[in-house]
Amino acid sequence: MKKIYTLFAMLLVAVCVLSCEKEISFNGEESASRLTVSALAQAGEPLSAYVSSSVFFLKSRGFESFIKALDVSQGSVRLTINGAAAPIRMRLASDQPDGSLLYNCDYVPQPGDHLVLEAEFPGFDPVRAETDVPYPPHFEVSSLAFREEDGGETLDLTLRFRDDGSYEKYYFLIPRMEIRYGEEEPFQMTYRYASDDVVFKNMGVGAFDLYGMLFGDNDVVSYYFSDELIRGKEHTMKIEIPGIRHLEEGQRFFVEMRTVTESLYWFDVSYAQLESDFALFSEGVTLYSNVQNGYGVFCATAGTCVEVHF
Amino acid sequence: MKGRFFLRVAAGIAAILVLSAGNAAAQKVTVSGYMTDAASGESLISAALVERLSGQGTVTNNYGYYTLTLPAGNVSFEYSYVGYEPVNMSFRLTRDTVIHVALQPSAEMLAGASVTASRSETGVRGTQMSTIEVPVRQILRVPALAGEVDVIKAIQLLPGVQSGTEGSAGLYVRGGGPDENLLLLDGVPIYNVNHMMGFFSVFNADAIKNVTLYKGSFPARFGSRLSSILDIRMKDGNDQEFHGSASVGLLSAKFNLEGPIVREKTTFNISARRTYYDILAQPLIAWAYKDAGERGMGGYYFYDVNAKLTHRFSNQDKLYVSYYMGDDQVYTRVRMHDNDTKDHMKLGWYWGNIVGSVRWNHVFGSRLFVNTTVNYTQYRHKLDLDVQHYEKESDPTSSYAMGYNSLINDISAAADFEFNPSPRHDVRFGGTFIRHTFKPSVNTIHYEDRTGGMKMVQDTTFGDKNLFTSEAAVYAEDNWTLAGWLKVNAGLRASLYAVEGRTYTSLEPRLGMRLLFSGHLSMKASYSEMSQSVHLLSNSNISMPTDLWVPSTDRIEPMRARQVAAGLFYEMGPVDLSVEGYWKGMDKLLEYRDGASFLGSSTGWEEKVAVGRGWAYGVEFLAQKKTGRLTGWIGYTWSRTMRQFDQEGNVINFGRPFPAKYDRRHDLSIVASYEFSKKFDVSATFVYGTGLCGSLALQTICVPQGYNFTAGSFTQPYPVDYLESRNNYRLPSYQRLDLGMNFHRFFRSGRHRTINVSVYNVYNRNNPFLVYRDGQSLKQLSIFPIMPSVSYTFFF
Repeated sequence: MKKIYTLFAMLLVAVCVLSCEKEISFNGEESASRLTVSALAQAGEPLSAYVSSSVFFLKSRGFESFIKALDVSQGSVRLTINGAAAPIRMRLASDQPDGSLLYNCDYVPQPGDHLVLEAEFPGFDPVRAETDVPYPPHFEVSSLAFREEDGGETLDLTLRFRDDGSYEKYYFLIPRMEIRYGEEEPFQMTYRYASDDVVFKNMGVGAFDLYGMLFGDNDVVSYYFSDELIRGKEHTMKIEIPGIRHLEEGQRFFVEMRTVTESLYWFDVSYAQLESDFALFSEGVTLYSNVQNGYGVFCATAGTCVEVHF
Repeated sequence: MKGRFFLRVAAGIAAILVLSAGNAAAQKVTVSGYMTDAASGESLISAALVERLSGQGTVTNNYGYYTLTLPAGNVSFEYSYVGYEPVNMSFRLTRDTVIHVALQPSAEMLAGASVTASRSETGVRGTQMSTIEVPVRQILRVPALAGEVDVIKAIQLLPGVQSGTEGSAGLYVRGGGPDENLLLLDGVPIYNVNHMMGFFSVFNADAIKNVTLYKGSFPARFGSRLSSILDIRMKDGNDQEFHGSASVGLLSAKFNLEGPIVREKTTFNISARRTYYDILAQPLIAWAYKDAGERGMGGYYFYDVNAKLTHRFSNQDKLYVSYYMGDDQVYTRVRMHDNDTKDHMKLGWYWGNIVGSVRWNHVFGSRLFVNTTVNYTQYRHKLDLDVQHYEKESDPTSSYAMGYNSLINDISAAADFEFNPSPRHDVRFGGTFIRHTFKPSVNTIHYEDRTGGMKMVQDTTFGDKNLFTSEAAVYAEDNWTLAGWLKVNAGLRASLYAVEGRTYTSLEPRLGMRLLFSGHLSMKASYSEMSQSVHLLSNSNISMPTDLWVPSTDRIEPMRARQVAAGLFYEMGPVDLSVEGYWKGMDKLLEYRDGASFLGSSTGWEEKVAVGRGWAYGVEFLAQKKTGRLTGWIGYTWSRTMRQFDQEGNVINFGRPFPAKYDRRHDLSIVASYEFSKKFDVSATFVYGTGLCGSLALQTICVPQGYNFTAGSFTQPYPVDYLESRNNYRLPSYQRLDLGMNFHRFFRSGRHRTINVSVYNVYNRNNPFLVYRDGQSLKQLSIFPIMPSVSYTFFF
């Protein structure tokens, strides 16, 4: 019997040694580097844009790789508002983040604006992306109630809003608490919530998810919903916020709802999928991009914030 | 609408039957009977009968039954089958006659005599194209991974069939996915054909009598899949005396026993096998746990059992009862403890099939054969995790249990008729009804915590509800000889699928045509349409037990395909040559959306898939030699397979076309075995294939990590891998040489033993199993190096 185990162990070792992982040379075509432009136009806030270049994976060497090939003196980033003949030339910011060039401008997006962002740098195909700035949603908190659940308190909020039906929209809903200690700047704490509302189920990313439950992941994707089922209608939805107590001094509670462009929704969804710990079992994910001839995303949002007193 | 549909179906079927009966008014007589192996009584499938004077002929069906209608008069019959002595007889045929023929295994055949008469419907003379019969004797000689002879692995070596990743038992036929193949074991579908994540198939070669692969151009009697039918028939069992075999190999032990219960009336055949790696590894596993201060055991094994009972009531009535059961099991039990606490963890992961069928053959007169079948098939998958935490000597203070189950159950009934009204017509018609029960995925979670005197219990069950669907089909086909040089197989299949209050219907025309240019050369062409209402959701290149079988629903329509094929067939002495070209279009195909996974949310499977289309085209070449000392084949395929998901709400890869992951431009297989003597034979297999496709992020980009909802802005940019399109990278090519040798020894008692020595991947080629990015480098994982194996089989 001992001999059998010895033989078995030898075979196991042989298989482990011979079956191997090895570095191989890349036998495909090197894909061209492209400009990457990312900007979020938020109604009421000045617009900024991040610009970098993509890097073929065999040549990637830290943050520096993404801006090394960009000739800042010859490059330009332009913004065209509502088809104006003369675009605004965005300027390089003084405080630069790692891995990207930050461009600013004085323009403050307004709901209904149509924006075109273009970037041109020597050695790269010029890129172009466009977006519309959405209108903020109108909603109200129509009721609230506390109840005991699993040894803690849960806040049930009922929201009522009307979709204007003007075009396809995505919404983003998040409750948050603003906490201020003394004279310090207040900080924001967001709350996870659950909802059986059909608008969430329609997104295929229900507010309840196994991953979040098992591993406590705060999956932002769950907070989006579309107007597909409620377009042009008034809708009342209920959300349940567990683990919340009555407000104490220095605390304010808000419910924020944003209208977001489809591009922002898909960018966030694909980013969350890309970073998922279940990637081993998943199909490969392509990060969403709406930038012609390049990568990145140009998207917009407009929000409404309602303070809730309790 | 439904009424008009059935009227059209009825009109089509009636037209075929009327045309068939057109010549039946003339004075015709019919000869019919069974063809069997004289030594074992085993029925012979696709054995040939040729009437030499008229050139008319037929082949036996899956039960060894034949029927041939001829003008009355002098006849000269030759009964033949590969590997058997032909039987000739001449006489005056004046009335319907029943002739049962028992063929003797032939020594001359082994010596290389040419057999032309036995070339069946798949050869030069038949109308059927895109169909390959592989002798089981050849399959048994193909060198195998770990010495485990595998039917599916042999089928993968045929042109038009791709094999997926290294070692996988999946079949990818003419651009179709692994779920688009109907794998029939004695006429019953098997849903999961894989053991050990697909490295081995569930078919135990010891129990198998006949294997036929239809790659397209299906006769109307087959349906419910888009790409192929693999028809595997089990041995009935020897009706003369008891025989058996017992075998031990590197991986498994198995046995086979067959014999008469009542001589020449009732027979049985039973085979079983089990892997024993887990038993051998147990001391090592226990030692590893002990070294870590724990107690534990675990392992993996699979087993399967095939059984068949055959009873002959009379020459007109036969009953068959077939049964298959197989499971894969992964199990772990671990006990960890320190001074104050202890934890117990138990994991069980099981998946497998249960298949059963009862068939009754009856012969009405001499021209009508009927087979009636009742089938049951089940595939189930279960994952159970149970963790218990104890503090000091007490009841568990906390426990966590998780379960994940999926299941598919089918109950079906079918009646198939074969009618031979005239020398020019060979008609088949019938119908089938299937009741499916799907439980695609159900998650259960139980959590209990009694820490600190508090009790918190959480019980959750979520997932897809049971889905009941029904499928019915009727068909009729006629193998019609219009002239000596022109033969047509025309058929129509009408199917109906009902789910959740919605009914889908489909009419599937099947047409095959053969133009015989000479006794050795023919051209064939075919057109066929198929539909499929079950889907396998898989997001891995290997077969995972978590792959979900799901039905079409009111939202997900059945898949459809149409295929056109044409080819030339030539008999060059004992070698059959063929070259075929095909084009296949597929609609309503399913794929997981980007990033979707079987785990991760309570969302139902319908939310995770996108519906799209695909197309495939290619050319296949096959040279096959089934007789003589040297047997085998050379197969080559050039093909292209694409997918596109561009419909609103079903977009993958931004709507752009992308190659299927098993798209392979070149695929070459050479299989040869040579019998030096009765005591010694050798075999070799060489395969070469263009690398499969995979998704590889070739660019790295620096983008914000998402929308920061607290700050109301984008987050700081950070590098992420950017995948430009799905399946954008071609893995390195695949090639392998396997060698095998069989040493036979025969004893006077009639028993014999065989020692098989085989070497898998002789020149230790590192074939790609997985290629992935590791920072700035590319890495390849290979799993099967050179693998010698030996097995010992004793036949009694």
